[in-house]
Amino acid sequence: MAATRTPSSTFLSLWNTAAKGKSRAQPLFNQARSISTTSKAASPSVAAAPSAASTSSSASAAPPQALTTSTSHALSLLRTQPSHYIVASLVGRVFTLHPRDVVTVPRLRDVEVGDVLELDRIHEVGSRDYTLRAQDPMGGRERVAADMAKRRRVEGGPQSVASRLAAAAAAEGSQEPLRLSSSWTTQHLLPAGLAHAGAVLSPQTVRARAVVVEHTKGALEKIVKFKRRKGYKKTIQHKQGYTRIRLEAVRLGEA
Amino acid sequence: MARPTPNAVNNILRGSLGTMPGPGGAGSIGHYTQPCRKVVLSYCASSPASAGVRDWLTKKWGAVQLAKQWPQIEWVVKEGKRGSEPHVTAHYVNSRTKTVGLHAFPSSTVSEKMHLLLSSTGRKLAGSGSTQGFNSSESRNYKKNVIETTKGMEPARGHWSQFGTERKAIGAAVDDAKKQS
Repeated sequence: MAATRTPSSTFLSLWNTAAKGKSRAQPLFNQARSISTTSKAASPSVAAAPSAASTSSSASAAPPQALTTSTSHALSLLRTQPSHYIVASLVGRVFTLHPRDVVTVPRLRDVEVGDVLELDRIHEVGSRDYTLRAQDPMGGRERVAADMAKRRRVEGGPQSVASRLAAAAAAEGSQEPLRLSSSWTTQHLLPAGLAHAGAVLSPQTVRARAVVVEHTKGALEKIVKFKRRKGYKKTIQHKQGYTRIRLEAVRLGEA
Repeated sequence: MARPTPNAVNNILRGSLGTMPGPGGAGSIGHYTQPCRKVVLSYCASSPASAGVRDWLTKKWGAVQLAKQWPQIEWVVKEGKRGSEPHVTAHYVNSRTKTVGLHAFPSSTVSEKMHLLLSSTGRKLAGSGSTQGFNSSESRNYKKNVIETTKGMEPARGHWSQFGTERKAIGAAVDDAKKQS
């Protein structure tokens, strides 16, 4: 699964990041312009949580409004805060990591202890009050049709399948020929603004460096296979191999 | 009294070849210390059980390559008594050791065991009932505790509180950032 390297539009949203759990990613406000008024309205109390939930549930169809659309402004806001975290994909799994966290993944055969890794699939970088999240430029659309359309622009030719597809879509008269993907993520999480959908931040925005700490094995597992009245019983002993990787530093870029 | 400087191979003192753990440790950022600091290989010069070890020692891709690849590790090769069993002991910076027997292993297996020792941090492996405890030596449940945080490290987003938290004035933060930029 290759990471799409197209420049994605990034949004800085002010999340209620201190409230973990269900209300973690719900925004405090809807309108980015009326920042001062909503900050006075959303007072730091227990009552703020249900009010935020009600406003966000009513606007659950639209993604949350951004504080800024400029990545450099977003990074400058992030730099005002002391500590940061990243949400990155590693070995096909998504982790929320802070510096000095050691993450355990299945054994990686092609790294040695002491190797320095540069994480290239960072979906989100944030701090206590700000979050910078890579947004999916496709908006959850099916990537097959988009790739075919891209190839149509490059190759051309009336006989290509892609051009026939685009022509059929144009004949339909639909404004958006690209269908929404049918995955659970796009159906449920994207409308609420909670899905990364594979979008990554560029290396110019944020860099994360990690060190391979060790290759180790897990606890001994004894798997007993048994069939009654057949004289069949065998014990399999298994130790799962793991690689442990420590996140060293998160560096914010310029853009 | 000054220590005599070695001027010949047979005058090198063992103490001058010792390794010490470097600064930093688990909590530091950007300081990585190789956990294995010394490897002691003991073998017999004549017995057939040590044939694989002798082969590994003489081969260019064996001991020499590994020692050059890990110059920060102290490599000690001891020829034991006649008939002694070959084994290798790795010393780690957490003051633990791991010993692997090499009886009648071919040189390829000796390489694998060396790689196993060099890839370890010396921590005790997980026991079968490792579901309790957080950082104790018996609780290496890597399935359950996938992310191990440094003790005392505060999460960036803060802790959840039932009573809510002090919120920054959002407009003030944006205005300050705009004034600074």
